[in-house]
Amino acid sequence: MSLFIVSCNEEAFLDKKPHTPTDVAFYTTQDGAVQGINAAYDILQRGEALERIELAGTTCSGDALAGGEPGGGDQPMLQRITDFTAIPTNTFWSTGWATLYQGIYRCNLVINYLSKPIEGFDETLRNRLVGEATFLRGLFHFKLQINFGGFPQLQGTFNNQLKGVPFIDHVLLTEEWNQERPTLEYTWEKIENDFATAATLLPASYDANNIGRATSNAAKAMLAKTYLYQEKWDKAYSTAKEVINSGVYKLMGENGEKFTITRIGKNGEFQAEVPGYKWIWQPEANNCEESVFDVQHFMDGDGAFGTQEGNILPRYYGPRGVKTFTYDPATKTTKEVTTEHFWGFILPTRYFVETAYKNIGGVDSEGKIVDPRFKLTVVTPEDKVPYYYAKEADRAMFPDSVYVDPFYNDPATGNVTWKYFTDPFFDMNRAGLGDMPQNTKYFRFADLLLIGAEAAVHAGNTSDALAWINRVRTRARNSGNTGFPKDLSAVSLEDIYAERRVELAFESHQFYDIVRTGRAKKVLIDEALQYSTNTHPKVNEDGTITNVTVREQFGDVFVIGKNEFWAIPQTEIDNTSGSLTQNPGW
Amino acid sequence: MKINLLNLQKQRTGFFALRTFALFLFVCLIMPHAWASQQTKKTITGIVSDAESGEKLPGATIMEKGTSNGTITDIDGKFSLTVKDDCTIEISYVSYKSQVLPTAGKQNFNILLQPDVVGMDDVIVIGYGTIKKSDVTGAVASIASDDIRSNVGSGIDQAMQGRAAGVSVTANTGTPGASPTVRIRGMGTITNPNPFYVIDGIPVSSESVGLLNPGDIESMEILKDASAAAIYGARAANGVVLITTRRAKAGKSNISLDAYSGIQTVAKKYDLMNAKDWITYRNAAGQKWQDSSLVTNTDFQDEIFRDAIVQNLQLSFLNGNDKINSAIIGSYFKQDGIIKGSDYERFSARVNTSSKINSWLTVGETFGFTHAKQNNIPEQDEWSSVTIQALVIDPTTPVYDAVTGNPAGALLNNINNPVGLIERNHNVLTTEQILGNAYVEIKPVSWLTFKSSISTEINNSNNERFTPIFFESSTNQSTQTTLFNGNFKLNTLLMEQLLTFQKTFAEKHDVQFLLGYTRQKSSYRLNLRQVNGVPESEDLWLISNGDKATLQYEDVASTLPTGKFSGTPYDASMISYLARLIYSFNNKYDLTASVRRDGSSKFGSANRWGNFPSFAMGWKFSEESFFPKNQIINFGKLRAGWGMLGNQEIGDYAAYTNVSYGLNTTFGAYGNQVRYSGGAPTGYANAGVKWESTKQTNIGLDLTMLNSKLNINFDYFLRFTNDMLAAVPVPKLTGIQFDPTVNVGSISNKGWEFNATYRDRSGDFKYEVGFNLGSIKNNVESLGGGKPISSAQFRAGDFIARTEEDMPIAYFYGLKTDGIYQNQAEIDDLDKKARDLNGGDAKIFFDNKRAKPGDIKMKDINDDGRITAADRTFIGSPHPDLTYALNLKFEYKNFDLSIFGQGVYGNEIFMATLNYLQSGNGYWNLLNSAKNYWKQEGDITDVPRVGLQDYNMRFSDRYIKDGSFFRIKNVMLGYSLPSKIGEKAGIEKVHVYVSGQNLFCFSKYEGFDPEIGTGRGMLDIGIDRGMYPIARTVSVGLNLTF
Repeated sequence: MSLFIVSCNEEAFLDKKPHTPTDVAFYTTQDGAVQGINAAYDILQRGEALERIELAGTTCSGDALAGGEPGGGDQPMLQRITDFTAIPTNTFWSTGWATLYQGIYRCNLVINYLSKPIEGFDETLRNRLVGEATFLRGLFHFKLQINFGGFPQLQGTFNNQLKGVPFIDHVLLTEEWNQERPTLEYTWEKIENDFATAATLLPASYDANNIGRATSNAAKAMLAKTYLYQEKWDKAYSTAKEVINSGVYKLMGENGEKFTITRIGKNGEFQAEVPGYKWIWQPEANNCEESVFDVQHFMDGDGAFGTQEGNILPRYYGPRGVKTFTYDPATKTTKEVTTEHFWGFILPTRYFVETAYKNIGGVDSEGKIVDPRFKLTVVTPEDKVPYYYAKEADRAMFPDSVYVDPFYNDPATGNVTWKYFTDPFFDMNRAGLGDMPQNTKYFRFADLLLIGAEAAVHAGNTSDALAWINRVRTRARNSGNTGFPKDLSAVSLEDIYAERRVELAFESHQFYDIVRTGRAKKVLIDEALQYSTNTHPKVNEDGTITNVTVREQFGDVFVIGKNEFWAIPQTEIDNTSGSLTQNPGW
Repeated sequence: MKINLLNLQKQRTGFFALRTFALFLFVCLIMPHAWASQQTKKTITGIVSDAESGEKLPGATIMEKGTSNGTITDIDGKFSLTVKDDCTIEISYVSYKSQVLPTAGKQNFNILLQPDVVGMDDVIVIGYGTIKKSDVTGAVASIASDDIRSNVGSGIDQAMQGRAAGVSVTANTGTPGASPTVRIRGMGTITNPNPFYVIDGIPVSSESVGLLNPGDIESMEILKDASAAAIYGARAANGVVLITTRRAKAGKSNISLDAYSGIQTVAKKYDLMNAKDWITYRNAAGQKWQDSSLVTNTDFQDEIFRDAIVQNLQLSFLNGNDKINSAIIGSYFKQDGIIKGSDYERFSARVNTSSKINSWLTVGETFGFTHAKQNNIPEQDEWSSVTIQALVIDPTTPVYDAVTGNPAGALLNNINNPVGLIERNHNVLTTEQILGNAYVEIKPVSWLTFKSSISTEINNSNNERFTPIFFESSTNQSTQTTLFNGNFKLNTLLMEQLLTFQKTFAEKHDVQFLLGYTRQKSSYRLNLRQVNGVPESEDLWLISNGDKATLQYEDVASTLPTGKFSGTPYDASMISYLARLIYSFNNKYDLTASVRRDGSSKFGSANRWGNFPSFAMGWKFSEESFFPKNQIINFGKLRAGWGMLGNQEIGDYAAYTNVSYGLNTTFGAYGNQVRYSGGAPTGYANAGVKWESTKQTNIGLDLTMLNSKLNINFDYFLRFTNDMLAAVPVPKLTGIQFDPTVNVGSISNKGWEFNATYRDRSGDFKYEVGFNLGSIKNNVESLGGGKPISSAQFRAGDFIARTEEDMPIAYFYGLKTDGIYQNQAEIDDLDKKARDLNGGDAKIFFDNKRAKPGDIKMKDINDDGRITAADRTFIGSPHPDLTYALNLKFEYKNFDLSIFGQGVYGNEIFMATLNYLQSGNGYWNLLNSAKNYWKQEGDITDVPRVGLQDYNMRFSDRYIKDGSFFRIKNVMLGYSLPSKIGEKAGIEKVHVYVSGQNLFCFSKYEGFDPEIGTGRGMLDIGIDRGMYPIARTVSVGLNLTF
């Protein structure tokens, strides 16, 4: 009898459940569902897994070299993408792929559990959450599609072999795991649908605590961009126009306004006034009126590498070898520390410096670059930059450049970029690695104006195009005092491409722009490489010096009909037993 | 009855009490007659001596057969015992053949025991019971406690190395206090192939078995095959290691002191370039130049290594009489690491007692407490470990900066000064472990024993790490202090009820039948806290161990700038029924059959229960009348067994999709931005996950030959794992972050083991020669869906290892090299061929378009004219063809000498450190052998040209090195004081010795040591990331017994 009693409660004894809720219990509560969508936004913040991968959108364009630690061994996966020597096992790609699909999964869970009204669940909130999930799902697929999928207009170059990335619109059952690739058009259409749906579900704005969540205008702007990438010019034009004319967004400092920032200098706290084009890279500009959609960050004092709330991109972008200050608010004392927090990726090439500004008329009659954006984008060796300077020892080591190893960089420039760079110094006391406070400007209003302008030219409305591009140029002009760039009196596609390259420099647009507009060969092979033939000294074993070219060292060669899009990660092809096919050329 | 119940109640808590009582009642009810039975008794006396020398034998056991009634001979070999009038007594003594004698009509016995050099009549522990060694039907290896103790080192797991055929023990690191990788009969699964450890009946994790003081051990048995291990059912698939701690023998009381002290040194260093050579190479590589006359030359290996002390002190008090025996053991062990800043310290105390309350009741307990403290240096990864930094840092960097006096920053970014790493390091792991067991044993009749026990393991580990504010270089600095505190608590409670029937029928049928019921629950709590901006002074660190710590922290949280907290609670439980029959007929035929039924909380309710049966038979053919009695073969036995075992080591809650928190984000306008909590499932529930099952067949032969001087064992086994539990990679487009655990595939391990020992003496000279050999062939028979599993990343680059069907587990996967391109024409020809084969596109190249003369040429395995990822193939296996060990023991008069060597043959090592040390870019320091790089056409070398790119460093057979080695692991020379001298001082035994550990290693390997264990994860084997090397130790020791 006693043995029998033992058996009775055995199942209860063996029933050990997790201490955290299961998915059903979680998503069907308001609290849980909000946390569920927050987890999808979290994906965007993944510095090491996602945001740094976007550096490739700049480094593959000829406008910047990957950079990093001198020696060429820093982030080899990025270096290989930049050199176009990456192979399908590249972990930057597989990580990016996996991370984006994780985000899609998180969106689908929200959409799945909130597809119908739930008792006790606020309907407005439910609609908003489904809208946010739909927006983010579209955004994640958009990123996947422009990197791993393709653009319909390029099919000719690829013998019509381009295919879309799998569009996952629900939580997959086991038997659906081995996805096949749909047509390009299918995926693009689903992305369009998501942004269009999200625009109807999302609110136009949020309360102060929730600023930064996707809005209906952000969804429309993404829709406009989606049309643009497919060359659906009329729709792109009208959609962009609707958002532009809504008056929700503006260019910061468009009328020459200056913005006050508080920083730590050698002598403690001080205030400075900075122009709009500089200000937008400061943390104070997080979710400002120019932000159509920011990836949210703030400095939470966690030293982790891009896994928490801080932004890792400023680390990547900032020049190597600078001094900063720490500030103790309690005692109001400043301490200088030789903290070299920045890693010197994204090194503007001579090709960029010598052609980009010239092409938009940002150069005066003596050939000097007078577009104010130049000094706010690129730091050149001759710049005497207040508040930071290289370590003395490093200067001696790099005679040709203040910041950057001339061997690695395009030797004639020694440039670095300081977009995303807090200027002057932000309190570094609490900022560990990868923990910078500024948002990533994923979609700025300037981008939307230029998208609108490009679509308008194609759609035949050059007056809107001219007005919009000149808004961008006006703000640029008002960020300095040179009177440049002047307003255009007529606008061509070339003008818009050139303006995008300057205005959105190093923001991960240029590579996608040259690919989608079919200019990859022209830019990368005919033009950029010409600037890579400059020689730099190489010391031989016997102490003699010979000059070699960048081409000899790196041999970067862009293969038309292959390198426009990344390889589908090899592990993913293996894991789907080959049902997922590789892109052409790989 | 009342007294009995009271005694019982002292031993139990909660629901266990009810259960014990219920079972006890059950026993009483069905055996009422047995209680009351009465017998006629008489007292017998006798003397036991050695049949050869006539020496009296104190401590020999005399047992009334089939009962627990027995005694032990006194110091003069005499005994006295009250027995049933007409019974048989069994006289046994370690290393002597047992005798069975009838007592009918006899009062006085003069017993002569024949020495039995092979100890076939020793009793060995088999799990929930014991058995005579000669009756064993499965593959069970015993390791002598002396052999365990002769190892200089912290853990018993390390000491198992080479001691049993088929049991491979591989050090993962030389860090003091670290546990090695132990594999019994190969790797049967890719999930958790660690053996199951049981200390005095308490299951302990493979991590905490190393905490046991080797001096506490009485015996150690390894249940290798399924028929032996099946009694442990669901956890036995990878073999079982049974450890029994010491108890006094009846009639034996003494105090002993064991101590040793030794000095450890690094056995081998890398042959690296000095500053001048390195600059020359670096210049050749086109890196920045520097005047070689200006630089310092630092040998950073010399800077991190040191001569380190190891010491051990143990005091044992053993006290045994016919009622009570007890063992009280205290020990202290301290080992400084051969790398500065690392050490391990352990204090342990043990109290084991058993008391015979009356003729039918015995109570007892074992209690062991261990406190260990480990100072660790960074050694976990290939990016920043002290050893890697010491190898790769440029030799031109001084140890300390001349101006600041701080550890100098390396010339190049991202390399840390290893001395700085050590000096700044604060990484302390403290562990407190309690292993306790209390039991009551009731013997209502001679043939029935009921044993009820409660056991617990409490393990409380705390890891504290602190980073100060410092500046060494641009990439190695901290602008704030960080204190990390991780606390792990494990609490296991185990209740066991065992009923054993043991009886001999008609003198021929020996029957032992066991029934058991066990119930176990465990809870794990992991708490991680990280606080930034704490003061530098250790006294002010307000977070510490214990439950109060959280509160304490919250109290002060407002004064601390920022922090991060996380924790993970897990609970697990298990219920088991077990039954075993051991039957022996006429001392010729042995049969063992067992079955265990396990229920585990790790699986969903549908798959919770599993049955694990086994059968084995033994035939002592030498006992057959037709077998010729001769001195060539004295004893011979054939064994055959089959059994099914399980493995459940997958972590908890695999059957549930649960939400992970901490996926936070932030919203709000600037200045108003706050963190918002986020959560989502990151795994994938597999409600259908079930037991992994392993079927093993074993055939064995035991022979005792040449006048019992030679003992040979041979075993052949077939081990198949089915429904293997594995985290199988799923397509990432599912959004599943952590691969779910599923039952996929099967793995086979086939092999043989051979063991031979020859013992003899000639006058005062005694010697023993033993060796063992084992060979295992590992093969992945199938892998669900056939998808290969990639593993073992190095520097976040490509995967080194691959597990796929019809290949050994985690073999090395990469390109094959085919010499060096000698000239451009060679490259151009291959490029042209590549274009011809691939449609003539001008952009198609044979290999990466950057290939130049002097680069390594790779083999085009798939013959498509190009070198792609598809050309990767098998380039080596980390699994040895043969593992072997040699054991020599000599004794002459008062001197003793033992030599123990151990080795592996036929495996490969992936020397990942070459990725730095032969890299060709002049960024890291290099092996001297890198000087022999290709310079011009016609150079015969395997080192490619210098150059910036990592092109030549793609994972290929260039990294593959022969992993075979033979190591003289231990040499010990001892001297025992003649007993006459000792007796005068009241000392029973004095033994002094000098020993050398790891004195020689015969190997061609260029790294620290060819013994490379498991790296990150189970599928990361034999990859040398420049781990903490194993030390060479010379020590002196003393054993004193009063």
